[in-house]
Amino acid sequence: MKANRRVLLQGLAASIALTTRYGSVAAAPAGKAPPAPAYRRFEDLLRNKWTWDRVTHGTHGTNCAGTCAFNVYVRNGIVWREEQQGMYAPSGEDVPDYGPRGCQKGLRHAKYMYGPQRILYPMKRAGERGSGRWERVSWEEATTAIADKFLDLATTAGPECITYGSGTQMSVKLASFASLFRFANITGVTVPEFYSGVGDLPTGVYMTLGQVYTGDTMAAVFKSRCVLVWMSNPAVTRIPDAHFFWEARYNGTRVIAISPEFTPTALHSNHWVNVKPGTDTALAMAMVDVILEEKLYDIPYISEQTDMPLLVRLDTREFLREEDLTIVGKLAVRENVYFMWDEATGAPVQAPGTGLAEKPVGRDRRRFDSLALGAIKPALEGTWKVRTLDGDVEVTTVFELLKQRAAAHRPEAMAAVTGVSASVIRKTARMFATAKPAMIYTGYSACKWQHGDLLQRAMLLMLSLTGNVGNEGGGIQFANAPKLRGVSGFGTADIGPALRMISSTTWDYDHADLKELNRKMYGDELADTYDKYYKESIREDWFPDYSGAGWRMAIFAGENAANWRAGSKQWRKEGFDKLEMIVVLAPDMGSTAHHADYILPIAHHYERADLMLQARIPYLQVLDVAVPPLGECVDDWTANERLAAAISRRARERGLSAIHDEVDGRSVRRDYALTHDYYTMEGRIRSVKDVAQFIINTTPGIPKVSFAELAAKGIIRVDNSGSAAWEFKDSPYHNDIVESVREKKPYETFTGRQQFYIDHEWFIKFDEALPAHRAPLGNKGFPLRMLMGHARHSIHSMWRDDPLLLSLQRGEPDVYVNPSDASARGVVDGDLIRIFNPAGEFYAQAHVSSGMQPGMIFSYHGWDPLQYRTGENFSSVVCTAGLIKPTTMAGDYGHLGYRALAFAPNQTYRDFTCNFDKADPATGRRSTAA
Amino acid sequence: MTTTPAVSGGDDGGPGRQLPGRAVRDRQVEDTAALRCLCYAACSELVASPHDVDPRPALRGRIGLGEAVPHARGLDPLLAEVAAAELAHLRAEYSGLFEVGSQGPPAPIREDLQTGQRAGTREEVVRFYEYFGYVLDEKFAWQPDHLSVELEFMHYLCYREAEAASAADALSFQLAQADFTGRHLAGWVPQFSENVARIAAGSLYGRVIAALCDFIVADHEWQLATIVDAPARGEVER
Repeated sequence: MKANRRVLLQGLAASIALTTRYGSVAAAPAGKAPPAPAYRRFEDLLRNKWTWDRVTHGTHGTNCAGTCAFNVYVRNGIVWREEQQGMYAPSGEDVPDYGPRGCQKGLRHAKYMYGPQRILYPMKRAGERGSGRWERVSWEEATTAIADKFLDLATTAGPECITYGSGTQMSVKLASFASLFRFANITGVTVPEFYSGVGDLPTGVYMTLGQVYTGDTMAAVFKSRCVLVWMSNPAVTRIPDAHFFWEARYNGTRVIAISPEFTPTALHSNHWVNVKPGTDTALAMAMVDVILEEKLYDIPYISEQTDMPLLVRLDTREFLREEDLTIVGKLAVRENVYFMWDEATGAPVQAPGTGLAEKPVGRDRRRFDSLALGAIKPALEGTWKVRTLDGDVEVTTVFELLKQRAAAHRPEAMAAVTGVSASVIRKTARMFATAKPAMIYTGYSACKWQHGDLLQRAMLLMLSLTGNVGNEGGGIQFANAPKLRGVSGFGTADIGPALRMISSTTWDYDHADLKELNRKMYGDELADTYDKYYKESIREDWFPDYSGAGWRMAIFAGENAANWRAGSKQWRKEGFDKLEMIVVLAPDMGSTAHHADYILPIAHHYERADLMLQARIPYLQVLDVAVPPLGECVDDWTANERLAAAISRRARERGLSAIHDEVDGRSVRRDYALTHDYYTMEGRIRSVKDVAQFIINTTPGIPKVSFAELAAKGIIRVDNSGSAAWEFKDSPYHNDIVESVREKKPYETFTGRQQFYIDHEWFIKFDEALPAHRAPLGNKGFPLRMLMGHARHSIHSMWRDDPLLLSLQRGEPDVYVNPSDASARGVVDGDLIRIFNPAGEFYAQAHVSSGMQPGMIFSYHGWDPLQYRTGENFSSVVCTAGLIKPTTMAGDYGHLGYRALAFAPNQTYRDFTCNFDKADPATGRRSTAA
Repeated sequence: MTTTPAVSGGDDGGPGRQLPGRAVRDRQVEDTAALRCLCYAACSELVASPHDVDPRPALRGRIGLGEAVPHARGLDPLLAEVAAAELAHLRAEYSGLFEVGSQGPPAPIREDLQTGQRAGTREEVVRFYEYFGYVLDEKFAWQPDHLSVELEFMHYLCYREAEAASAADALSFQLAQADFTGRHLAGWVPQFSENVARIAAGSLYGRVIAALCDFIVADHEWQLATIVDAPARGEVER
């Protein structure tokens, strides 16, 4: 700059003023300018690197069941790092400690939360759906548009045509889930629940025990003497907990991994049983046969706790009931009174624990009755004649029928089916049956086969016959879940229940024409048969039906539905794409948001307050606000509050009257002008912390602390958690099974016992009154079965796109294939391959691994379609969404019939086959690595 | 306000202290710092999100500023153009390029994202801010690496240089500007500009970023040319 310009510039220069839009000057001594620091090189900046403005406690509110306690380090309004909190108390003298807990994903979050995938502002679609063109809009503009569409539909077609779907990402954060629950309860939108929708619902466990929540803490693993890790891969999916397995091994526990592929869990186990995909029930029933043949069963246990001694008519294959025996019983329809053969008197006698209430909602049986046999000496084996209203009929026991059923699964015969030799089957069965306690640690893959219910029933047979259900260190270790009293209580407080909750599985069947998908994939006969039973179940009112008004608008929160639906193209084309409005509430972009009309930005894990309870560890975990939400993000409670406010405002501005809604036969008045008042309890609930406090105050087993106190501590041990099993009624988790075993309280099944024999007409017709192996379905001409599992480097689709975690893998989606299958197709490791079947195709990198069996391929899940070259992910070949197994829609049978989050058909993911070939690397889009 | 070049005086490190081997050539603090201060304010306003604040009123007052700083001339027409644009147009174009997108914004306007979230990038930016007493409001604290924020920090450093009580103080701010530009703005904005050009070369913001990039690079060169003989390690302590 030249001096001769100075005069000209003086005017401008004189106007110099500090105009800061984003910040201010650090406080200086009064009346003085801030001191000028001596700066000579950038290293001067870093002298106070390891100091923090504050350290808060938090975790990652995602569904890995980890709830790992973390310290979150904040300086200058930014989260710089996190660290495992390590404040878990010693567990006791006889089990290892829980802490510290954490994994590489959680330790990446301080970086990930500032990544490019974040949704930071309300967004409105600015091009065709899925074009990727977006416009930032204000919260007011977005919520007004959403509210107007909501009101248009709710007041004309009814709110049931609007869904509010949530995924596991949302549900594990209790206050957020309670907020959604309350919003849905007030507005009348349909909530398609994801538990069955993602194929996680252990229907076979429910059929048998009348309860799906059977899991204990992870310390229970250490107390077991033999653990079958089956359909689960905890070395990968339970990183903070896997140490319990390996410590148990050091303690003498035998850990046996059962899986088709050689998993990291198998690597560290005592034994690995590599069963062929889809033949696990055959393996389980073969082991049941060994247990029966070699009399390794626990007679007192099964006589008292199970239906093994109950009498079954050989003419009808139905239980002998009181209505069979007396006209009084017949007139009173005493179908809930069952009999056993008493060897003491040589006559049939009413089985203890039967009678009284038959439905799970009626708890009288548990309150007033007992399974105690008293003087009865029930026979397990034998055949007798009993006089009935139909004349003399031959009866036998469930145990006798089971022996016959098991005999059809002899190890020698099942060796060919399972690929496991008879000697290994026998050896494994003996190791399991002679160890006590013994457990089966299983994952949700056991629910993702069409006949997963049969597998779970067979697993429970192994456990029950050996007296292992309900004992510490034993049992079937699916998850437990907190009692939802606080969550549901918040959802209904002041307003009562008017919630529409339905299985995503049946919702999709109704709204995406999945019968047609069945027809294309599995043929007319299967499609027609399944549809016939489906419709009969709906007609009989065994399951709810909210299909009358169609599916016209969807809100997705904490759910990346377009990533994982099991009938991807059909679901997208017939359901998702036809929606008049799609709204997504999410912290990160994904395929579902990509196709949305409006996106609302949601706070990430360190930007929000909430609570988490996961039964694997006995601690209540806080999420605290380390930093304010980035951009214009808000927590879910606030997002719903803004939606509620917009609905109220627009309802008033439009002069809309209240509507009369019918929910499951109840008449409900919905005045949308009052939505916000209801949602906030007329202003008494001001933030998500108030919701959290409501839950703390009303949930049994949680120490009654203030949220602030919890936030200061990070974690608090829950009440009555000294044992590895959840054994007390006033713990926050379900303890029904332990209670039944210890206190002899009847189960919430039709028979009041662990029920292995189900004489529902449909079960008898499909020959599933007792469990049996059923071959999995496939697609003709497609030889390879594709399996999937949770990944090491992501929790579902969260963190799937983190650059560092991608660099620890192959940088792009890959599919594991066996070397012989690869070479037969001219494929070598690293090649691009096309995976295809009649449903569709996708492209991925071949990961050639001898850990895979020939005839199978494996894809870790969670990869988003946006990460694939053609925008299609694994779900494009998964065509199983319409396979609604008839028996999982059964009803009018004691505990069987729709029960939200307990009994509903799963959307399954395994009963299909595919093929692969070498692909042209030039096909499609660039890889994520590129 | 302090004048340069090389000053001499007391030995307490305060005003008038002689800095061995150091001279500032053709850098008239009262002019150059003040004008560059205004220039960087304009730059920051040009690339501020129009969703947060309407930049047009402030920019109308900056028109002609490019004439005052030779290597900022390219900015002048854009100051006028942005000041005259429809706010809705500015918002749509800005957010579509820099703020929202299905796989992240097409051209993220944050250094951290442009440079692949390299370890230490944002931390060093924040340490600069902290060291020189520039405190971000809570609302903006999460994006210290936003281009507009980094430019505002340069505006702040220039202001402090202009207001410095001594040559030694002024030198601190001059060195900080040079380091901050070299280690950050001049390091990532050229690549950012290329990315924007690839996506939206002819667009208003495409031209804004291109002109801004030219200014940053030129100003960096000017800064380096007007500070000579950087002090040896450990040479100056207060």
